[in-house]
Amino acid sequence: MATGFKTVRQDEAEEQVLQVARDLLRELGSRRATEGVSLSSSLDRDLGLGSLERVELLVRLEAHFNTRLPEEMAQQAGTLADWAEALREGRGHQHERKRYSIIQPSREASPAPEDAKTWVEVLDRHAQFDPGRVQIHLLEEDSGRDITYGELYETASKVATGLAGSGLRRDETVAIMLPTGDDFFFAFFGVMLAGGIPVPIYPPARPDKIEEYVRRQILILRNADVRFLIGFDQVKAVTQIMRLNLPGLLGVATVETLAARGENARRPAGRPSDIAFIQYTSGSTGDPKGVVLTQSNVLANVRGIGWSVNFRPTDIVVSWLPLYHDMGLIGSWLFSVYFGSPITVLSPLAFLRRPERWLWAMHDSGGTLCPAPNFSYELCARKIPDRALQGLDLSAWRVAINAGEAVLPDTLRRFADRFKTYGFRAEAFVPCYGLAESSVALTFPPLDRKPVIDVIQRDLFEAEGRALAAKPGDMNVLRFVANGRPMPGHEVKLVDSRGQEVSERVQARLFFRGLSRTGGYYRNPQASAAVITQDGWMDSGDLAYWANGEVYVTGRQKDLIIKSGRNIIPQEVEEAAAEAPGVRKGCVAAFGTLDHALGTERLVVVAEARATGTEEQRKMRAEVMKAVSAAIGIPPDDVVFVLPNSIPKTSSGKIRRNATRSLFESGKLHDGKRPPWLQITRLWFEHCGAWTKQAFEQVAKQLKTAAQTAWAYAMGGAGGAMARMSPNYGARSWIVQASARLILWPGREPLPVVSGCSTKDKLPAIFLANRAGFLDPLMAAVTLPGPWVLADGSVLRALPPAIRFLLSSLILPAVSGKKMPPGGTLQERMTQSLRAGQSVLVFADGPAGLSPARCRFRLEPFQSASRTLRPVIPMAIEGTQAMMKSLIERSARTYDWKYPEEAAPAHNASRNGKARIAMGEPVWSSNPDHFEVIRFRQDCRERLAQWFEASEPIRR
Amino acid sequence: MTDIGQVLNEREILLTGATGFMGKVILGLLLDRYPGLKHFHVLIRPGRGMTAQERFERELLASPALEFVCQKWSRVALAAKVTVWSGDIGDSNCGLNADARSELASRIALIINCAGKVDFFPPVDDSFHSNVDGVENIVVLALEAGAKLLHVSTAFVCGEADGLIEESEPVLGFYPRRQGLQDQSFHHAVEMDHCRKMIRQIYNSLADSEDATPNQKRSREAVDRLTALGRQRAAAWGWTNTYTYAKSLGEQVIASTEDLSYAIVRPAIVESSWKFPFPGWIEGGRTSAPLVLMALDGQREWPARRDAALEVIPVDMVAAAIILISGLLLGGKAASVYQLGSADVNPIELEPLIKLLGHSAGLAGQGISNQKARPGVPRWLVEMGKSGRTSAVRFLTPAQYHARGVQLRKKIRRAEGVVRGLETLLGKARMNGRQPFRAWKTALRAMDLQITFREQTLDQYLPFIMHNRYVFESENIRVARAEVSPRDRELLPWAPEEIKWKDYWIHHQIAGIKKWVEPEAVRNWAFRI
Repeated sequence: MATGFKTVRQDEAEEQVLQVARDLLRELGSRRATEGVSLSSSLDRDLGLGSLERVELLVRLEAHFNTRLPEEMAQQAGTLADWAEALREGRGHQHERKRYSIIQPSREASPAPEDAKTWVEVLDRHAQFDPGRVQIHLLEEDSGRDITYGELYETASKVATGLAGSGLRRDETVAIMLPTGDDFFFAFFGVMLAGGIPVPIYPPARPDKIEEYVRRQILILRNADVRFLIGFDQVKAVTQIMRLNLPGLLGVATVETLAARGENARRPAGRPSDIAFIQYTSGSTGDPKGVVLTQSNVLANVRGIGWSVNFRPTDIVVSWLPLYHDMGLIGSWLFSVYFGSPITVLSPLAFLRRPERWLWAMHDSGGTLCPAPNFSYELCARKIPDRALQGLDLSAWRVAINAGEAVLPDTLRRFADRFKTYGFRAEAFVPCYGLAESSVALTFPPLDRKPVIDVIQRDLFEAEGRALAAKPGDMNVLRFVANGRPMPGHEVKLVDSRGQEVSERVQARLFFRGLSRTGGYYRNPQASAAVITQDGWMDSGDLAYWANGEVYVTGRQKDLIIKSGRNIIPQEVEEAAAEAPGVRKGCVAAFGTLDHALGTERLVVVAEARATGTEEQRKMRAEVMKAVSAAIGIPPDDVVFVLPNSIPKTSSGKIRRNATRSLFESGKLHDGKRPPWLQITRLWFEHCGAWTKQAFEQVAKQLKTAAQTAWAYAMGGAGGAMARMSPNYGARSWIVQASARLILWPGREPLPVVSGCSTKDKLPAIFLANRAGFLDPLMAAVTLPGPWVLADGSVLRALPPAIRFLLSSLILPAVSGKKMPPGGTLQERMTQSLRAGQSVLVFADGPAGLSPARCRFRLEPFQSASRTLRPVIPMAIEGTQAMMKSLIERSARTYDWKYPEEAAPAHNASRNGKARIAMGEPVWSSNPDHFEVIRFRQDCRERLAQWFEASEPIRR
Repeated sequence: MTDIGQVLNEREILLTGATGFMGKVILGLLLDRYPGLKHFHVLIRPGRGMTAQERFERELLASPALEFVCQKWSRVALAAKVTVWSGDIGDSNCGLNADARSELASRIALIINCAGKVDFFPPVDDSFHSNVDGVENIVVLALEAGAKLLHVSTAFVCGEADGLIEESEPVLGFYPRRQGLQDQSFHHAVEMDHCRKMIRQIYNSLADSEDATPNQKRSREAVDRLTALGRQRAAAWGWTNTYTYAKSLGEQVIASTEDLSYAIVRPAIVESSWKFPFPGWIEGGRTSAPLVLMALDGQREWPARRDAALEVIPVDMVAAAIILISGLLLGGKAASVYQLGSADVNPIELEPLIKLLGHSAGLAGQGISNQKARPGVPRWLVEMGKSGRTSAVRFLTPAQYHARGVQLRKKIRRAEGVVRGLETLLGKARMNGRQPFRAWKTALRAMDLQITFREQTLDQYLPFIMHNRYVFESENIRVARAEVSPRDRELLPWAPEEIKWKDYWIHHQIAGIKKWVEPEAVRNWAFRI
């Protein structure tokens, strides 16, 4: 097994490791390349090596020492000395990695929930029907983990409880910043179960790009107005910085902390028109826009894909795609959740490190469906050594979806040729077209057909946009892959600049509509209006032509380079330039930039290259010129070589041509990278202002709260004592009212607005109130007319002691002489108070914030009202919850208080408003019969609910 | 004014579930207080290797609940008053043959349905068998006989709640998360169809590997999947467990039947007797017994809500109420729902209750577990297994509580490591004195198991002591009492306001559990969940 491994002497090994590292650093353009590299340098802090560079280092060291190292080394090794040690100890012995054995369920998938209207329902159905069925095989380094539907549901429910318990409300957004792993799945459905909207964003993978990452993500998170950020432990520093800039953010959490908060999930029922999640487009053109996808959009798309790939219950999905991206999220995972087929998931990094792992995952799980973008097929065709493929069997693979970026005919050919011997059939290729705005997929070619490649005349196409088939033998041609027809329920049309539909074989803009079309961009009506027409068509921004009833997608409108009257497709230039020796594959950007002197576009090629010498670069430039002019007939005006990883890319790895253009135009292309610590420091400094302000506000707030508390204690104590000494309840009520007003005065808390019917001549009465918040009794105390008593002391429970002391002096007095129960029953006490001329204030029993229609009242107040012939006055209270938020938060901490979900509207309504108390029309009853009293109660409750609805100008 | 004695002297009654805790007390109280009653039928399911008649004699007559009755009545006299029928309400026609059925139907004027499966999380088809199918069968029998139906449900059919549960809440269309009366999203027939369809689907999907008949012994997987189904159907609508979910469906079956005159009785947590047959009689460990035992065992940290009242009601009060309501129902004066709780007039909140339990555990010394009886184990090791340092009772959130469990287990692992290390060390040094370590290791292992057991048990109770707060309005029974003669009021005591909780818990409940509920039984039960 350990072929070619030789024991390396210590000093020798160290010297060689250092040399390899220096070479790499030099090529990467690090300023530290020459000086200061020692064995003890930290890889990320001192050398700024990100995960991809570490992989590069791993591969190089392996090549250098002709051995194979454990893959974990790439992420775990802290210093160069670790590498040297690993090499010396011969840790590289294990040549062949253990693969996690995947056991597929013995039964076929149960029928898909075709009538399900939401994703929660889909999960519910599967979890109920077969909780023990494995949904996800998650491959980790060389172990794995199986997640069943039952586990997915249970853990997600816990996360949902955690979120709801921390204050997440329906239709609020939660950003999920997690790498591929079990937490992502739990978080995603957890947010959905809690009624929130998941916003998957990509996690920071590379410390050297941290600054750019934070800047981009903050724009996204602000646009999404997120309430929570679910991250993982390693990104705390990043989330802390972000936190300062997101005023709406309630908290940062991990799946673990959320799931630990209990399991009693309260679940709002979903509607098909609810937002399922927001997919921020990778934005290869322009600023990030949040594509809003509803439950029915995503379900329709998944059903469409199922139809197009002719889903079978024995199908098995394999994916290495990132989960924050539409193809990995909808096209792979949600697809498999819906159809009940197991999915094997490996992380994108694992794939990039060793592409063969993807193919082995296909082999091990017997995968039949697998979507991937073009470059991954290219990577497999080029990079995998033959010895890593021994015994591989891909014959089960029946649908190999190639989408997400331009499909290159050559890649298809290369991959099919290479893997024919391993059982791969070229008919399995399904080159399709889709975009985030249409959930994920839009067009599908027929199955079991070799990719159809259209060969067209280049000149005519570039000059006039007409795609005429080339004559045999013509060398000056372009080739495009057929992308098939729209899925059922979707339509595609091609429209030219005048808005006319074009005929066959003419390139034009692709418009589409259908069930999975997005409703628009999140909180960005201008951007939505710009691309969606009145009759429901959406501009995809892509160019295409029809031929033989199929659509051929040719490129993006904005990327098109118009030079000397010709339309040049950048992909083609890039592909050609990448052929030149020394240029990094897939790391070339071609774009046009306006030359003001000549008034035409200049064709610029920016390419990443390792070589830095001027002589080498001159040679390479000539090669690139040659390759490009051979391909498109004109040479580029400018070829620029930059250091590796300088060309900006999107989270899914697409070239950001516009961003490259602006870097080029501003001359910043050659800026070296700063070490991560410096980037973080810069970010901190930028946010320093915000931070100091926050700190000051915090201190000021605490001082203010302390002063208010002291004042409340003084007033409450004095008032409570005086009230207890006063002879009758008239005086008591007056004293309590005065003290309550004094307590509220220094905070300039507005007194509640009292509206509604006059209570004059109707006292004493029973005041029947809903509970809007903990401060209700206090608000009532400053409002209620005449002498009154409080029916039940339990409503005072969550109030601060001072207020409790004050108000408890007004609790319903006992009936003297009653033994069983001591002090008389509640009804006897109430009757006594009413007869003595005191009104009784009755609160609904139950949590604060419940809507009045669902409030529950004891029967006693209604019994005593009908016996004493006194009226019941409905009293609608609103907005007290938000009034003294700090006060409530403090008491919440003391009393294990749950923020009730129902409190949401009231809470939101009066964020800036006042508390409101509205007195309703009195209700009378004179029949003390038991069933009459029950009817009386029902009547009063309905009046209260109507009154509450009617007297709320804020909410409407 | 209804005279219950007179009503009972004229009509015959059928009681199902007579072998249960509550059934026994109903039968005993009835025979004790109304010896002149006309005739009584009991429907008993043959089982545990006995016929119905044998079960009646061995399980019912031998029970302390009927001790006084047996002393007063001769066997012949008893046989003349009580007829035993063999049958199971879950089977079609209640498991009765046609002759027996028509004879029974011609005689009875009232059915008291006390049968039910009181497992919180059983496989859902088991729960349906007695709590839904059984109710449907009983309804058919009642319609056939023209009899009235008194159905014993549970107060916890209200599911998730925070505060008062009104008796006047309409039964039909109810589910715990209902958003007011205009919310019509729940229909019991639709839900029952759906659930039965899912049960069938589960059986069908397992059909290739086993028999599809529900009555045969099922595989572990089938049991797990059916249990999970029940759990999730319940959770989806807001019920706290499969039991309350099925019970509520049963109630709605009754309420949706036209031409049936019925009363639904919903007792809260039924606990040891107040006065009849004697103070502190309890049977079976299904109610709060596990919690009490844990408290006596020295549990000091509780994931509980301080302000929630524990809705406990003594069994004889429930039995008395049921007899009283039977009388009213026969007289045509009953309301449709009776909740039987104590907290609306005489609440005992969890904070004082748990402190009381902790206090009596302190008085009882080490408690009644086997923890003390392990010779050769040092005190510090025993103390380690107990959460918390002080003897004061603490209230925790569930998260805190679980964190504490994890912490304790870590501690135990570490201690185990140390013990193992010491043992190896001594062994290598060829020294004697390894004996005590074996005992230590066993003690540690037991501790570990105990922590797990406690957590599992408490998890079952979280909905009742942590997540929700219940106060059951029990007005209707008070009104009902006002309508019967003073003599009946005396014979059938209903007085939750008179219970002195401290006294009741120490002298009735704890003493009763210690005497009648063997800790083993509780443990078996708790592990099965």
